[in-house]
Amino acid sequence: MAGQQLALTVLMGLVLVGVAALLTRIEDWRQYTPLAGGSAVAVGEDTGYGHREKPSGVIRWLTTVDHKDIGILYGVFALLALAIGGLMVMVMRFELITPASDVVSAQFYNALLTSHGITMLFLFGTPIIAAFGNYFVPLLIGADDMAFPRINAIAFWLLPPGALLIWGGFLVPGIAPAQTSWTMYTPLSVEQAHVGADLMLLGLHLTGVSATMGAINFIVTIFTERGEDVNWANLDIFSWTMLTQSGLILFAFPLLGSAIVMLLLDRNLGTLFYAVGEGGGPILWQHLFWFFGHPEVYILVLPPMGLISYIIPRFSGRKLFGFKFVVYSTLAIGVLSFGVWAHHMFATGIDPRLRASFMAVSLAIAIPSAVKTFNWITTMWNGRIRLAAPMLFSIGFISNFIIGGVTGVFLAAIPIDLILTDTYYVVGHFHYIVMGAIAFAVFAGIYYWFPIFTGKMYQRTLAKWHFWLSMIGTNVTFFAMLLLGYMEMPRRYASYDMVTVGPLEAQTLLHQAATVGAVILLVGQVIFVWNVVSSWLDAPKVTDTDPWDLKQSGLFTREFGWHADRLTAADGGEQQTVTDGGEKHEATDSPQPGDTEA
Amino acid sequence: MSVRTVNRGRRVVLVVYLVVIAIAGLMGAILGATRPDIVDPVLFGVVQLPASPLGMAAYGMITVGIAIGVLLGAVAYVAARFDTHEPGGE
Ligand code: HEM
Ligand SMILES: [Cu+2]
Repeated sequence: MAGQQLALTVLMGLVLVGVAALLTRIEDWRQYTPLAGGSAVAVGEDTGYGHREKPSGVIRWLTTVDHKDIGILYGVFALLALAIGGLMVMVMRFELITPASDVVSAQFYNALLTSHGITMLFLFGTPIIAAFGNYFVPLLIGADDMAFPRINAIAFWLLPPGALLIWGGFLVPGIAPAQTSWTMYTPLSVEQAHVGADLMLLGLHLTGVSATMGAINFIVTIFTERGEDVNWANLDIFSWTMLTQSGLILFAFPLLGSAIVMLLLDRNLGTLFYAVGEGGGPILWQHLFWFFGHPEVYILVLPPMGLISYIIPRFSGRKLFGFKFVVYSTLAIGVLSFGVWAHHMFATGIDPRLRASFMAVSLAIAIPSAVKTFNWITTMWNGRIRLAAPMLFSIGFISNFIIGGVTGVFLAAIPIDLILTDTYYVVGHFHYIVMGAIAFAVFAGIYYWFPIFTGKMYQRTLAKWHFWLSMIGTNVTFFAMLLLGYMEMPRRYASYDMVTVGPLEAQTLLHQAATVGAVILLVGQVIFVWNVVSSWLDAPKVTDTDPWDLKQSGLFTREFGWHADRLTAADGGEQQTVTDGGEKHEATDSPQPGDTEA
Repeated sequence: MSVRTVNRGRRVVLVVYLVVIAIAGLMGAILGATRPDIVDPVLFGVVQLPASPLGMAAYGMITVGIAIGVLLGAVAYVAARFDTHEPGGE
């Protein structure tokens, strides 16, 4: 036994040495550091990165290090994950139509619940933000590419194996998927023997490594690769939020990685990190998890807030009101978000003084969020609003964010939380934010920049259907959940025929309403997919260099400058011999009506 | 295309404001109808309202309406005083 292990260890060591040797042979790493000088490479110069000639077909996508291609890869991956996570939850919603557990088994329901949460947060949320960041941050700040294009590619390519591992319990026949819920609370997560849980933890670890690499890349890019005319004072709001978010990732995700490794060791090697008695106990896991987990919710919400701050002015015909305060509130949220984690642990019996201080900080963090909302609304107040699809989704964001935020403030009050914790109220609260706000901002961003990354325009009637179905579906589903919470319906159950609190008929009715809302949402998303795919394939090329009429209000920005250059460049191809941004675009035709609503 | 009434912005904001209040009222009404046993609406801690659908709806709408209304008033004030951007706006 011992001899075997020794042999294995030696073998592994040899393999590692071999890999290292191989790497030094096939790649001369030094050739990839031309940007180390820090100064932005002058326009039109050869940057040494893959813009010159790209191989065609699949090979191009497998080997690309171009930030725009990687952005597209992230986006496609994230939208696939959104579809998968969405279909998982549809099964759950159908299960909940009746109080009894009759569609799927309770175990399968738990597995879906776990996978839905992890998929949406780690395979949809973080990657879709990275998609926008990769595509647009370099364009917005006048950089030729991300600072580390190859690390960028690696970070993306860690995601597909991560996803396969996370879904492994469903994909590999014979092993049961994890049923820990996304919070993976010990001791349950240590004791559940499913191999699927180990795979999921490994996959989660990979996605964390991916996010961390991406974050380092964004930070370095924004610090060192800005164009000559971009400084901290005129850095756009989206890049500000990406920078802050990357900082949060840097402090939060490595900690999650370590905590997960300890959990894996507890599960497989008999270490006792989280054991009761010998180890830190379940509370240790909860502290570590939520020290990551709460910042994670701001990691997910800050860049969408940046998108909203970016888009609203462009459809209000005016600059963002109080730009500085929006930046400051972003930074304030970034700092404060590390001081509120124990509001997820009010009911665990931690020291009441500790609880009170976390309650205070949690109430305080509502202030910078309110400041942002205030600035968005003030921007709109005197604005000439155009209700095109990106703006509709932005307004939906504000409305849903207010409801999600107010319900969150209630949860931050200890006496209220003690009643509502672990009920559907919490589910309603955070879905108003993650679906009603974060996903809405993603849709707003996709529609707003559709002409840039596809060169086409979406179909605006379909986009409006998408908006209204999403808005109604979200509010029906999650409003019903808030009410269910008031009726003390516990969350995370496959059936509720055994629930003895609250009126069962009303609860059943509300569950059915939530399912109806989910179906409405689903129809909306089918329309969205159809719109994106068919417009991308069939719509005529956008010839307008300023599809949103931004010049009229003086809000024409670099990424559309890039778009205009691409159109006016003779070949219109991928060779970026023209400027990569910049404001000097006199050579554009007069604005034509785009999707802007008549 | 951009020749729009300035008031469009205000109208949109006010509609969102009313929708949020309506949602609060709806929530109050449903809670008053289904859980009269657990609700006890005391407006601002002084005015006792009945624990009925109507009482709860009024409670929700007045509380939320005033809370967000104060913010909205601040928006209007700040926009009139400090929002100097774009001379053509007003
Ligand atoms: C801004 C975006 C926000 C997001 C994305 C978000 C997300 C979440 C999530 C995912 C949970 C549930 C965690 C679980 O599975 O147990 C949660 C719970 C909670 N949220 Fe939020 N939230 C946000 C804002 C807020 C705000 C502004 C507050 C209060 C100031 C707040 C207070 C709470 C509290 C106290 C809980 C714990 C409830 C409980 O489990 O008893 N949240 N939130
Ligand atoms: Cu939190």
